[in-house]
Amino acid sequence: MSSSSTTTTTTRLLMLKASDGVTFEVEEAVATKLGAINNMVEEEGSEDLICLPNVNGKFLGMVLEWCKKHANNNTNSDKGNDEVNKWWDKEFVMDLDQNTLYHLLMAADYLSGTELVDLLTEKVASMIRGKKVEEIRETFKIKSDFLPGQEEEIRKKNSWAFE
Amino acid sequence: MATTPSSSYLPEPVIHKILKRLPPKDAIRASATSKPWRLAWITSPVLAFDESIVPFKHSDFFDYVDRSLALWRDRCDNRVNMEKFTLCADVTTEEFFSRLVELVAIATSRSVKVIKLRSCSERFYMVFHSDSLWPLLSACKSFDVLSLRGFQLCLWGSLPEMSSVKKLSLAALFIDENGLKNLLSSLPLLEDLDIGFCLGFVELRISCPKLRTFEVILSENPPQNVVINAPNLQYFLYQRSSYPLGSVGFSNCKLLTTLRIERTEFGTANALDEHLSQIPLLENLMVKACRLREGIRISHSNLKSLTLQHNWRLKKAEIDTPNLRFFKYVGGIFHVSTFRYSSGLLKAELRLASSVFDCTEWFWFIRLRNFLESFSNCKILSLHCYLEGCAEELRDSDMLPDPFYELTHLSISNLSLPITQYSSFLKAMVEIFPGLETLFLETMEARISIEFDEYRYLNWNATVYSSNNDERDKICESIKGATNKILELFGWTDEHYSENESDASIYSDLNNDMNIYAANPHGALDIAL
Repeated sequence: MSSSSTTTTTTRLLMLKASDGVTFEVEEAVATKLGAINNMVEEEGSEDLICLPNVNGKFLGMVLEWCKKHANNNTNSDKGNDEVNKWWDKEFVMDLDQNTLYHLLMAADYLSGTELVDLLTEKVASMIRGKKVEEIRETFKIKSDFLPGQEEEIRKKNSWAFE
Repeated sequence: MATTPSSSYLPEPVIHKILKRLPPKDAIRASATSKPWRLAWITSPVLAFDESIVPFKHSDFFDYVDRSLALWRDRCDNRVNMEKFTLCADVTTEEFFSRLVELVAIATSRSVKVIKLRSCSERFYMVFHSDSLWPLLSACKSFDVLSLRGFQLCLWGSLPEMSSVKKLSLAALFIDENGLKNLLSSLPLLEDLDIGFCLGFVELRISCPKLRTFEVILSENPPQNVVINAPNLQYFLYQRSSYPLGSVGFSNCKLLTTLRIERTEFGTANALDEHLSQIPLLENLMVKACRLREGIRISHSNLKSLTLQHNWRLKKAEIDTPNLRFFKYVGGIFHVSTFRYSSGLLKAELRLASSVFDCTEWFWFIRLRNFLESFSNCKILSLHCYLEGCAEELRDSDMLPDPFYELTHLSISNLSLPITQYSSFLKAMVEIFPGLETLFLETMEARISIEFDEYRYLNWNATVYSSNNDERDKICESIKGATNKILELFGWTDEHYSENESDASIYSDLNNDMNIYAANPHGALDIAL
C-alpha cells in the first residue's frame, strides 16, 4: 500500500484489522469517532492499515456499525437527527446479551469510544437498577471473591441499601 | 477468548462509569457483588450525596457523608484527585452550613473540578459574602464548574476572585442585582453561564468578557429585564415559562451564532430585525411564543436555521434569508409577503394547528394551498395538520385547488373523524398533493403510516387503539378499505401490490394494541418507522 495518495481525496479509507484477522475498510471520519484510532491517525506518517490485537472481528464490526451511524449524522446539525440517533442507540443496545455487552464495552473502552462507552455503561446500569446482589451477580456472571465475613460486614454497615 | 470472562474483570474506570449512573442504593448493592466492584465503589472520583434519597437526615446525613469521605480518603492518598463533588442537603442551620463548608474543604484539598451544592430546605438558607465558603473556593485553583441551588446569596461586598471557574450554574436562588454583579465580577474567565428560576433582581445585567454560552430561564412577574454585553457570546437562550412577555437587550454580541428567545416583547415588526443586523454571524434563530401582532421581518444573509413556534396571531412575515437551509414553523397560516431561502436546499417542517383548521372556514384548504406556494423550492417539505371535525367540502373534487407536487411528507391528526370517513377525505388530499412519499394519519381509533419506497411500492402499517376484539377487527377492515382506496387513487394494480392474507402477519402485543403489517410484493415484512 503506497502512502503517497493523500493529496486530493477528501475521504481517506483506513483498514482496521481485528485480532482474528478480519479486516474492515472504513472511512477515516467514521473510524476517528474512536479516540484511540483518532490518535493513531493524527500521528504523522501513519499507515492506512491499523492492527487491533485486542478486539475480535465480531465486536469490532459492531463498534464500527455504531461509529458509522453517528459519524453520518454528525455532519448534519439538525435537531431531528438527535432523535433519530437516540432511537437507533436504543435499538442497538436493546437485546444485547451479557456476553456481547461485555465484549462490546471492553472493545469500546479499549478504542476510547467515549460516547459508545456512555451508551453501554448506561445499559449496564439499567440492568443493575432495582436488582438484589445475587441477581446482579447472576446477570453479569460475577463471582464473589470476598473472604468469609466480608460481604456480611458490607451488608451490615450499609443495611439501609439492602432492605 | 475461549472462556467467557466475567464482568468483574471490567477495568476500574469502566466500573466507575457504571456506578456513577446509579442511585446510591443500587450502587452499594452492585459494590457488594465482588472485590473489584467494592473497590471501584470506594475509590470512585465522583462523589455525590443527596439527603433526599438516603434514609439519613440532618446531622445523621452529614455523619454519613463524613464516613463515606473518610473511606474514600483512606483508599485514595493525596495524589488522587476528586473529579466531582455533589452535595444536596437540607441546610437549615449555621451548624449544617459549616459542616457543608468542611466537606467542600475536603473536596477542594483534592483538586476537585466540579462542585455542586444544593439546599433542599424549604426556606432559602442565607449565604453571606463574608462566609468562609468563598475564600475556600477561590483558593482552589483546580475547579472549573460551580453550581449553586436553593440558597439565598447575600453577596453585598466584593468576593475573592475565582479565576479557574469557567462554568457557573445558578438555579432556584434568591440573589439581588448587586450580589449577581459581585459574583460575576469574581469570575473573570467565565465562559458558560446558566441561570434558572432565580429571584431577587429586577434586571439581569450580564457583562462577561469571556462568556460564550448563556442560558436563562425566568418566570417572575413582573418580568426581569435581561441586558447582555458579552463580546464573545456565541450561544444565547432566553426562556420565559409564563406570561407576561419579558424584554431582552443585547449589545456588543457580534459573535453570536445561535439565538433562541421565548415570550419576549419586541414592539414593532422591525425591532427584531434591527437587533439581527448587529449580529452578522448568526446561523440559528428561534423565536417562540412572542406576540408578533404587527408581523415579523427577518432579513439576514448568514442565517441557516429558523424556527418560528407558537407565535400565535402572527399575521404576516417577510423573511429574506438567502442561505436558509432549515425552517420549522408551528402555528397558524400567516401571510408570507417574501420568503427567500436557499433554493432547492431548504428542509421545511410546518405544523399547522387545529384552531386554524377547524374546518368551519369554507375553503381553508385553498388558503393552505396558497400558503404552501412559498415553499415550492424546498429539498424536503413536511406538513403536519391538526384538524378538527370533518372536512365536508373536500368531498366535492370540483372545488379542489390545483395540485401541489412539492409536498413529500404529510401527516394529519384528526381525533374527531372516524376512520370509516377517511377515504373520501384522503382522496382529496392525494389529489391536492400527488407527490407524497409518506402519509401518516392519526384518527381516534388508529395510527396509520403509509410509505412509498423508491420503486413506488407501497408499505403500510397501522396501530389500532382498541382492546375489544370485534371492534378491532372492524377497524382493521376499515383501514384496509382506506388503504385500498389510496391504492386506487394512485392507479395501482396487482402488479405493484398484492394483499395476500397468508403473507400478512398479525401481531398482538401486551397493550392490546395491534399492528398489522401488509406484505409488499417481495414478501418481506415492513417494520414500523
